[in-house]
Amino acid sequence: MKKNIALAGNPNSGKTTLFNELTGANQYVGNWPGVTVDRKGGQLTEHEEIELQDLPGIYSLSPYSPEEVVSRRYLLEEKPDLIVNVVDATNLERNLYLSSQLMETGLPMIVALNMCDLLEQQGIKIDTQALSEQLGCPVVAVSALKQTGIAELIALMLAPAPAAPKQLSYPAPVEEAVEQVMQAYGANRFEAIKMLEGEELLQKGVSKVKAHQLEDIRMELESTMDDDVSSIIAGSRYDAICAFIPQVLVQRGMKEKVSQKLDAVLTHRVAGPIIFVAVMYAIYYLSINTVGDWGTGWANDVLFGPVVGGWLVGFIGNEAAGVEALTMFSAVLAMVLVFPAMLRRLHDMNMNGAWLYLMVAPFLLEYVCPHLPGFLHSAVMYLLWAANGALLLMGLFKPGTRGANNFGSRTHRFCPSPMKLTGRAGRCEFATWFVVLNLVAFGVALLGRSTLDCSPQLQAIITDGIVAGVGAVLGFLPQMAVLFLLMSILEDCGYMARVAFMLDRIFRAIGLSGKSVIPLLVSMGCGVPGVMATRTIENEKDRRMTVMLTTFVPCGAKLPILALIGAMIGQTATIATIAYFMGFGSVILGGMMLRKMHMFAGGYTPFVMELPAYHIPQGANINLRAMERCKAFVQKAGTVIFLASALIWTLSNYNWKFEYLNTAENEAAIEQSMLANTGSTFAPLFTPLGWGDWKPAVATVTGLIAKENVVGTFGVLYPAQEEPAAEGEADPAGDELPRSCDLCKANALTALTMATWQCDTTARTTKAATASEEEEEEAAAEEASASTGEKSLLDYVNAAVAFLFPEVEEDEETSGVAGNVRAAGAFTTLSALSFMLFNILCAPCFAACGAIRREMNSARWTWFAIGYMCLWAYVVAFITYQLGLYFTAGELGSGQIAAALLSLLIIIQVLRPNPHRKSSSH
Amino acid sequence: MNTGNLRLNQVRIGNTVRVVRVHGEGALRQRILDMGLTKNAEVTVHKMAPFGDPLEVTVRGFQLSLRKAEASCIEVA
Repeated sequence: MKKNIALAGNPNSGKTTLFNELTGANQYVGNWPGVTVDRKGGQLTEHEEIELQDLPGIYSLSPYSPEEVVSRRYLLEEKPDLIVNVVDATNLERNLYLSSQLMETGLPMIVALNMCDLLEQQGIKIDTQALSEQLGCPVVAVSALKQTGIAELIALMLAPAPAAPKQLSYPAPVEEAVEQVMQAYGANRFEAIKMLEGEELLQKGVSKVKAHQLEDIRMELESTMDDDVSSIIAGSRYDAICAFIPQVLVQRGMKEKVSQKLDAVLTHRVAGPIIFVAVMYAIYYLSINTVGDWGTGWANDVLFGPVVGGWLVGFIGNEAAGVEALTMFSAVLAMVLVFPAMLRRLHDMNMNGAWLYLMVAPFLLEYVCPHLPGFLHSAVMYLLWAANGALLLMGLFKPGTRGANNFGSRTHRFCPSPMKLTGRAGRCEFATWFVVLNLVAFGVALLGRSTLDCSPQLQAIITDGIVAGVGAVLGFLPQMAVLFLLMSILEDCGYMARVAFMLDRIFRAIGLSGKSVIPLLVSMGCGVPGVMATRTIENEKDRRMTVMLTTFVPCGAKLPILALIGAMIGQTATIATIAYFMGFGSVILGGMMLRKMHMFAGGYTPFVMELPAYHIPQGANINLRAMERCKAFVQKAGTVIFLASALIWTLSNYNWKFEYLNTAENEAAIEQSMLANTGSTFAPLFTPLGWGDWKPAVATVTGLIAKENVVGTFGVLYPAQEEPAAEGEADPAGDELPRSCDLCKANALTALTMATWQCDTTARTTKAATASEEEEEEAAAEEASASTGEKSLLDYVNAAVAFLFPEVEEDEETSGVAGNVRAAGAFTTLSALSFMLFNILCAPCFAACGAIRREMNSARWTWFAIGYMCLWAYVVAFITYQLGLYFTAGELGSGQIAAALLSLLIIIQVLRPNPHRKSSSH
Repeated sequence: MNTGNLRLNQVRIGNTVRVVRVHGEGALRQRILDMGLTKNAEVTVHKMAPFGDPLEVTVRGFQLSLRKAEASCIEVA
C-alpha cells in the first residue's frame, strides 16, 4: 500500500539533508504548479511504497509567500498520511511555532528533532519523552548530519500512523472565539483559526450574514485582549510553547554562541565589507586561476590529449586531431549525462510518432536525399527541417498540461541527484527532442566511419557544427565546478545571508535587494546558474528584475569577444574596463529605471530575514548543490547549444534550394547561404550603430548560441586576405587541423579561445612566435611609457580591472582573426566599440534565455526581459556610436540629435523620483 | 497611532527591549509575528549593517535581520 509522507520544517532546519538521507537516489524535482518553487519528491530507500514529499522551508502556514501557499495547499488538499516535522533543536521556540500550526491541520505527525548534537555542545539537552507528551505525538532525536536516529525515524514512518497530535491550549478568550467560529461555520480548528486571522482564502464561500458574525467574534476578541487578532494568535502560540519549554529542556550551563562572535568580525562595519571583497576575490582566484585551471589543464593535456584524444582519433579515423577529439568526447559525455532523463521524457510523453521520425530522419538524410533529383531533394530537406521546427515549437509553446500535473518526470535510477532542468516536462522539451535527434545522427555518423560510410555533409554537421559548439561549453566545466562548489560552501555555512544583510542598503538604492548579490556574482562565471540563483529572492518583483539584469554582467563566454575587439583596436585592457564598467553600469541604471515602471512598483515584501547560525558546511549538501548547478550548466548549455549549432551550420552551408555549399572547401560560397541572405535583410537595422553589414549581423546572431561564437563566426566570415603561411606554420594547434577545413578551424578556434580564457597554460602552448613578438612590443611600449613617467588614470583603472577580473588575453588565433577583420576594413574603432557593447548587452545566449524563461515562468515576461535587454543594448550602442562620431569627427546630424535625446531620456528616467513609491509609513 | 512610543528602530545598539505591539499590516506584519516578535518577546538590538540599514536583532535565541522601515512597525518598551 502506498503511503504519502510530507516532510515539513523551517528553512535551515536540516530538512534537505534529512530528505537526501532518507531517499538517497530515488528523488525527482519538479515545480509546484504555477510558481517557481521546487517540488521535491522521492521514495524511501528500500521502502519504495513510502512516497516522501519535501515541502519548501517555511516559518508559518500563513498565505503570504508562495512557499507557504503551496505547502498549505498540499497539506490541506492532498492530505498526506503523515507529516514528519523537522525541528531544529537549537531553535526550539520558532520551530515549534510551525509545529503548532501543523498540529492544527489534524494530520498525524512525527517530530524529528534535528541537531540535538549541536545543542549538547552548548550544554543543553532536550527530554524527548517530555516533549512527546506535550505535543501528543512521537518525537525522535535525529542527526541528519551524523546519521543517528535515522533508523528509528524510518521505523516510525513505516509503523501505522499515530493518532492525531494534541492541540496547544490558548488563553480562554481565544479558545472561546475559536469554538464559536468552529460551530458557526462547521470549520475545523485550523480553518477556524485562520478565519479568525482574517484570511481571505478561506472566507470565499462564506455568506454576508455569516461574514458579519465572524467580524463580531473578531471584534469581541480584539476588545477583550486589546490587540489585533493576528498578534493575539501568534502571541498565544508562542506563549503556549514557551510555557512548556522549561519542562523539556535539561540545561547544564550555557556557552556563548559562536555565531555571534563570528558575526562581530564578519559583519563588522569596517571589516565586514573588506572581508567580503577578499572572499569574493579568493573565490574567483581559486576557480578561474588555480584549481579550475589545473582541472582544465589536466583535462586538456592529459585526459583529452593522449588518452582519450588519441583513442578517439584512431576510432573515427578522421585526420582532425586534438581539439576535435576532445570536443567529440565532451559531446558524448554531455549526452550520457542527459540521456536517461531523455528516455524517460519520451516515454512519459507517449509520442511514438516522434520516435519514428527520429529513427527515420537520419537515414532519409543520409541515403535517400543525395540520390533524389534536385526538386525532390529540396522538398525532402524542407520537410525534415520543418519537422524539426515543429518539434521545437511544440516543445516551446505546447501548454504544459501533462508536465504540470506530473510534477516532472522521474529521473533514471542511475542519475545520482535531482535533475533540475529536466524536471519541468512540457517546458524545455525542445532541447530534449533535439538532443535525441542529434544523438541518433551522431550515432549513425560514428558507426558510419567503419560501416556506413556517411556523407561528408553528415560528418561536417557533426564535427564542425555540433561537436565544436558543445565541446567549447564543456571546456568551461572544471572552472564552473570549482566556482559552484565554493559558492555552495558559502551558502551552506550561512555566510551568504550575511552578505545579503551587509549589502542590502546598496542594492536597495538601485532597486534590488540584498539577495540579488548572489545571482550577480555567479553570473560573472555563467549566466545560466546566475539566473537560477535568483530563486532565493522571495519577492517576485525583485526576482524578476534581478533575472532581467543579471545577464548584463559580462560572463566568461563574453571574454573572447572582448579579446577580439581589444585586439582589433589594440587596446585590450581598456576594452575590458569599458565592458565591465558598462555591464555593471547597465545593472545599476537598469535597476534605477525599471523600478520606476508601473510593473515593478509597489508590492513591498518584507526583508525580515533569519541570519542562520554559522555551521560547518556539510559535504553532502554542498556536493549536491554544486552538482545540481554543474548539471544545469551542462544540460542547458549542452543541449541548447547542441541544436543551435546544428541549425546555424545548416543555414550557413545550404542555400535556399538546399544545395550543399560546402563552405569548408569553398569559403566564398557562404555569400549564397541562407544565413547570408537572412543576414542581409536585417543588417540595415544595425547601420545606425555603425556596422550595417551582414557579416557582423550574422555574427551577432550566432552569438546567441554562445557568445564566444562571435569570434568563430568572424573567423569564417573574414578569411585571411593572403595565405598566411608563416603564421600557420608557427601555430601548432593549426597544424593539426586539416588545411582544407576552415570552418572546422573556426570552430576549433572557438574552443581554443575559450581554452585561452580558461587557463594560461593552454594559452601559453598555443601562443607562438608572433605572439611573443607582440609581447615584446608591449613590454617595450610599457617601458617607454614608464620611462616618461606618464601613467594616465586609465592605466590605473585598467590595472585594477585586470587585477579583479579574469584576464582577457589575446592569443594567436584571436589576434589572427582580429588582423583579418582589420584588413577587411569592416570596422572603425568606434563601430567596433559599438559592436562589442551591443553584443555584451543584448539578449544572452539561448541557454541563458532558457533559464530566464524557466525562472520567469511566463512567456510574456521572458519576451519582455529579452526585449528589454536588446533595446537597451541597441540604445547604448547607438548613443556610443553617434555621439562618438560627433566627438571624433565632429559630425552633427539627426543621428547625433537622436542620441543626445535618448541619453537625456535615460538620465531623466534614472534621476526622477519614483512616482510609485508609497511612503513606507503605515 | 500613538507615535510617541519607542519603536524598535529607535532602540540604541546593544539594548534589550520588550515588544509592546506590532503595527503595519498584511505580509509584513504576519512575517514579523511569525518570526517571534510577538507581545512581550525580548529583543536585543545587536548592530547595524555596514551601510547603515538592516538591523540585526536577537529574538527567541536566533539572529534576525530587518530593515529600519520594518523595525519602525514594532512598538517596544
